Amino acid sequence: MATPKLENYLRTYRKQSGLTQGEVGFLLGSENGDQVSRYERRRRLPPLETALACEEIFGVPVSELFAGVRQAAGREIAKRRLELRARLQAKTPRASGVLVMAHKLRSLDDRERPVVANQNSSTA
Amino acid sequence: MTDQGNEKRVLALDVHPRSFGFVVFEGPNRMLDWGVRSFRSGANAVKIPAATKFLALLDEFRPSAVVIGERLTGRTAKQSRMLATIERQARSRRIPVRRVSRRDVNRAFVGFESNKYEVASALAQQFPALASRLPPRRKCWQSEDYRMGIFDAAALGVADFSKYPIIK
Repeated sequence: MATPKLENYLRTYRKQSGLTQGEVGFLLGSENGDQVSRYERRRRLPPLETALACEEIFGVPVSELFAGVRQAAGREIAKRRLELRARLQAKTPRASGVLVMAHKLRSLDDRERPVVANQNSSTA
Repeated sequence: MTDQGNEKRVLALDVHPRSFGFVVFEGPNRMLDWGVRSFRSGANAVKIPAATKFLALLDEFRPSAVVIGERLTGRTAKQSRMLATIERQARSRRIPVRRVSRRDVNRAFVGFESNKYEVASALAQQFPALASRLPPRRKCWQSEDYRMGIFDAAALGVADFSKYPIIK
């Protein structure tokens, strides 16, 4: 059975870089490392600006730094995408809307494949 | 996104009479966290009990297994109590506890098995993040550096992965 990803890997990348929580806090514009500690222990989810700043500090994409959050979001979207497709298919569009509907379904299909592939690779 | 999702998370512990070293692995080639937690008693006793510190690690990393060293002799009462606590807490969370013997460690580090320092040096090469924590080679009249706990735990983790390889 696969082990689910941790919500974030901030501590791992911080320790690998040799920085202390205080130093990362300073880079993020805080007075100390308290907030960094909260992010690492998953007591707080950092705002988008901070997440992007972490990407800049550690040189690791946000989706990898917050792999668990990314995985959970991917699962939710995949579920809702199926639901939306079912809703769209249940509708009977007017003649003028057929092309729009086909475009929507095609775009849902296109976006579905990489996410499903990603999830299979991470839950196999 | 790099695919590191199929790897099992393992918490390796090296229990000493006054502290325990820990390393969290996600697969055999990725270390998530490492360090030493003290549970000394007496005049400079630590305030947070060892069991709480161990539980914090379990909560934070939710490992699929806990790995400890198999030592049949030379255990102090405190060490035995700590090991019992570890086993009890891990079982209460349905996390299996695996024991790795010195022989398993030697098998995993062929060519470096002459002493602990050789194994620690090999680990520092394999995991550059650990290199800064490698203590100097101890003289025979010196006691062991507390940081060796990290390397002993890492050795147990690596040995466990070679003993129980990941089946995808």
